[in-house]
Amino acid sequence: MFGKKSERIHDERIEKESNKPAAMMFYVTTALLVICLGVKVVCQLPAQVYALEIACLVISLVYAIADKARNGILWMKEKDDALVTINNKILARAYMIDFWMLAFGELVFIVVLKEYFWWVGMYLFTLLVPALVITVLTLKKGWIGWGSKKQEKTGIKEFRKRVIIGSLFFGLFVGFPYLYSDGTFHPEGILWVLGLGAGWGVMFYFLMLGFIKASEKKADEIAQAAADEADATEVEVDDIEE
Amino acid sequence: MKQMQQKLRWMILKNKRMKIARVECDLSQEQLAEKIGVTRQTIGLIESGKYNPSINLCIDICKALNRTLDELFWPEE
Repeated sequence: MFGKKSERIHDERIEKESNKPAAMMFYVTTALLVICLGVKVVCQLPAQVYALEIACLVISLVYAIADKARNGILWMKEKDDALVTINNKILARAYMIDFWMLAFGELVFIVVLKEYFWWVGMYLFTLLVPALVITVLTLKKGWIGWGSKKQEKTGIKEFRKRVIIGSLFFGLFVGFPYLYSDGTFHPEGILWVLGLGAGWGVMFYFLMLGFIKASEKKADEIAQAAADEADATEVEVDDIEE
Repeated sequence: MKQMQQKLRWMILKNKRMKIARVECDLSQEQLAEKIGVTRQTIGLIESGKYNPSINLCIDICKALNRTLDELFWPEE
């Protein structure tokens, strides 16, 4: 999962299953963005406060429509399994466009639009509700995991590297005011940067490992239940034939 | 009734053939999954008939187990 790109598992079953709720969350996110936009327009806020909603809606919808048209499924009413799979894949990507635009756009806006901080906070709601749904489903259905012991070894190493890099960015972003303010550099701010980064990094590392472990355990349970059911069915058939 | 039983038997055998081939190649589910690039749970679900693999995945499985598509996935007459 976190290994080198060439070594990562590309499991079609997990992709197909996880694209279904992601496609649904695209609709949910779109609806929440429209609601946010409507509320801000009605409250007569300046355009920059709802610029992100407009950007997300336009870009993700244009992408979804364009890719559906490219695949020839834009106007099709009846869809077989293959077309549903393609449709879900496109909408899942559109959802990810919304997600990342909101995640980064929100951070930029918090810095740029400090006076409208609470309004910008509405993005958190738009981001978190679908993300929470997908997180819960991922855990319940066992969609995330290492795949094998070998993958786990290389995956954990890569994951550690990424957490360290991510922690440094986090520490730098959140601790920057302590490092540089009023036009002067404060060396003691480095401790803030490292401390904040380490705090977030450690918490995220163990939380994520626990999450992956729980998800893999669930995936094993599902696979085992299916195997037990198949064995039980065979026994029933044997009984009938006797 | 007999036809239904035969159909059910075929469904079970279809998935058993892959399992038998895997065991004959002395591979665990995890080892086969690693060879193909999927999770071991997916192999388990294919063998228990809970997941229908795409044709590309079927081909990858056949290559890994040194079998043909007919041998592993085509219904017996």
